[in-house]
Amino acid sequence: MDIRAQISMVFHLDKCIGCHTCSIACKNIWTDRKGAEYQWWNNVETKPGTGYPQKWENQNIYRGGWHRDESGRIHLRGAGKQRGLLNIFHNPSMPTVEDYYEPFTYRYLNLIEAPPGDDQPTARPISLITGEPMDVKMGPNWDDDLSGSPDYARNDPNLEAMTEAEREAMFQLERMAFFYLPRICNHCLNPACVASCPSGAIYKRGEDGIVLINQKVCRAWRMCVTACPYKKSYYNWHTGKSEKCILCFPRMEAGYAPACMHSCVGRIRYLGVILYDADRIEAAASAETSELVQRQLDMLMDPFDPRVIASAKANGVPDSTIKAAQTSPVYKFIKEWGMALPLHPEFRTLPMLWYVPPLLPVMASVKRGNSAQQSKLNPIAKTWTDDWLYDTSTEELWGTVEQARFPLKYLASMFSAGDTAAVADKLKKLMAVRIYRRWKTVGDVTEAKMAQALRDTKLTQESAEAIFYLTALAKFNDRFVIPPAHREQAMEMIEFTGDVKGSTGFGFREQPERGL
Amino acid sequence: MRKLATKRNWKARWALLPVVALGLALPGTALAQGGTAAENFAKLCAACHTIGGGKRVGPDLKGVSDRRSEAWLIKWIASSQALVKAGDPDAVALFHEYADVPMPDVALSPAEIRDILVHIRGGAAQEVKVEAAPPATPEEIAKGAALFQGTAALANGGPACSSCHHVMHDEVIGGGVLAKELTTSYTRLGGPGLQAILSAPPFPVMEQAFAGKPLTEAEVRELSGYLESLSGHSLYDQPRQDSMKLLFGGLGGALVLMALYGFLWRNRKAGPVNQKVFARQLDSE
Repeated sequence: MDIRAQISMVFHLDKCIGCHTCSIACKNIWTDRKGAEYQWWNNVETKPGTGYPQKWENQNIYRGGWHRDESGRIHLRGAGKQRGLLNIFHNPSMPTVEDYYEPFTYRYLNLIEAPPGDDQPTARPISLITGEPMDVKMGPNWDDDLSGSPDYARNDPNLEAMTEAEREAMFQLERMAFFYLPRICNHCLNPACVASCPSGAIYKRGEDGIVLINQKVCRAWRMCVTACPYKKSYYNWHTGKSEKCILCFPRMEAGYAPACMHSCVGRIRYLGVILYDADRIEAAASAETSELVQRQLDMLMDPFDPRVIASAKANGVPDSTIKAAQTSPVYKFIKEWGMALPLHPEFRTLPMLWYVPPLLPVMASVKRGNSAQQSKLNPIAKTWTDDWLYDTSTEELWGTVEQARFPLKYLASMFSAGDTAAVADKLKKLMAVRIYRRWKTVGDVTEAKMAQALRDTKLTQESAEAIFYLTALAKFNDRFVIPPAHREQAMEMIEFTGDVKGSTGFGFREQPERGL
Repeated sequence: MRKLATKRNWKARWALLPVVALGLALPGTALAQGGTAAENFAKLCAACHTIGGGKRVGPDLKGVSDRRSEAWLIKWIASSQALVKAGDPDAVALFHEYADVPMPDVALSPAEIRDILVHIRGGAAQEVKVEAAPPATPEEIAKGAALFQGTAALANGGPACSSCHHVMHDEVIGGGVLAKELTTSYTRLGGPGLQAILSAPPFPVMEQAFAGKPLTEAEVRELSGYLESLSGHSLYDQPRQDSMKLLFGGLGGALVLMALYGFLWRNRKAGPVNQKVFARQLDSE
């Protein structure tokens, strides 16, 4: 057992309203610089959609992440010793700026400074790369809210898991649904970017597992850009270095939540410490695809287990971090309640950003009226009848989950490497909590039904209440349990602070008239 | 500061080292002479000149003192090229008459040169016959070819002949073009002339190239033997004309490589993933 601490995150997709505030908060702090304009360390995608960069989930194009061979060992799909050397001077799987988007601004000054003329002055779009006028062809959230075009939603790589009929059904007007997927660096336990870097510039911080690129060591090979299956490492063409989400570690060390989480309007984001067993990384990353999520869950250790605590202490994890792990909201969501899933576990990087899958779009259904007329129509056809109703209530317990507007197969392709049962389990838990709260506050659900819902999902009234609290009521310090960074200890490792004791501190900018 | 100064001092001293080395080496290149006028003549002059024996590389020296003034001769012998460069009409005419082969400078004092002139004047009676060297053996010729091409190293570390010279010979590929083509050198200069030039190069560049790294006597024999062998059958040689072959070989090779790369990277990402969408969009200009 080799227990280490990892800052982990949970994004509650049911609560995300797709407002992009997180993206803007991140952009304003970190990537509002020359060469970084196109980078969105935090971005919000509409699903189904092709995302940013376009079709990033399709590893046949970008060759990111790990690949498991017949012998059960994993290799980097697009990098590594031989392949990396072969492509080191020109990596053909690299996303180009067109795959992200060409960053632009507008020539606003022209609106007030244009000479008098017959036409209204306009603010032409200007490329932030060339400085020349350009045609805007793409943006970082170009397919936001499905964007009304088949070019994006219907090209979602996750749709490949579904049959043609299921795909068509998803895009029927009444059944059409979408949800938002905010993404940042997953700070993986088995990061492909770290493994791919020929310069050894990328490292995973020992104390909290944040993955960082050393800007002094980076030699712009850009292997990390392709190796990261989530495309969350970006090349800064101005500095000639690669950059990525740093999980706002300067803020975290000062006890603040990362900017994207701090600013989140829907309060969908949770952050906390998880103790994990580093000895199991290789086995978990090279597990059978169907076991990936469970094996990763098995790595995350109970922070109250004395053996875990002893091993963590032996590894130098401070008591304060262990205490933070014990109160971690993330541990509760992921391990205790089992409500969260990692994004694309089949990339085998063991991402430590977990998602509570969205229930909301699957809840509503169109009530069917005239059955005689209905029988003539295709089951997916829309039916406009007088008793048309946008119905969110359910007769039977889990019916709407299984026959959801949002097919389980689609969600499973994103969050559980195709395991629909795992996704259904999470959705049922979300629904069970609703049924419990409905029974408690509205009272139109029978106690028996409520009890059965909790029993089916292995929840208790206490845990359902706790889930409700952390989902709906949680305060800032409940959502973000940030372990103290112990900067004072870090400082003492570099210099002896006793040297300046008594010689610095309070002073005078002007000599006092009396004294001294 | 002191430390720094010392360091710089040392640096300066190290920087001087090559200069000092050059200074030590340069006098070594000049032939250390001495000996009687007859010996000097045999060693320095007889390779190219006879006294009453007819022209060789240079003119027959019989009666040379009657044709030229002694002062002119001393200047010419000390440094013929200096005189040619100075534009002396006699010197230029003589230089051109003998196929522009420069006469090596000799490091002799004017008195010694005068002694040699006296020796030549009196030498009419006792003609100095230069022994004709026995013809080179096939082994020597083969060794000479190897030395010429640089496949065998010169004993004192001099550069291979083909660095600068070319000869027309089937086996020599791509000799240098910096200096004269040597296929007919034997016909032009004769064996003794070649050997004289090889043992004490009179050409400034060649002299520098071989400064401190003179050819050994055996090497001189082997090389001149090789050049001699060329003069015999260079007419029948048809050296490969590789320039067009190289061009087409290069073009063909590039095509083969491109095909290989195209095959190896056939599944590469060839453009933006949304190329089709972009192609449909209208451009404003």
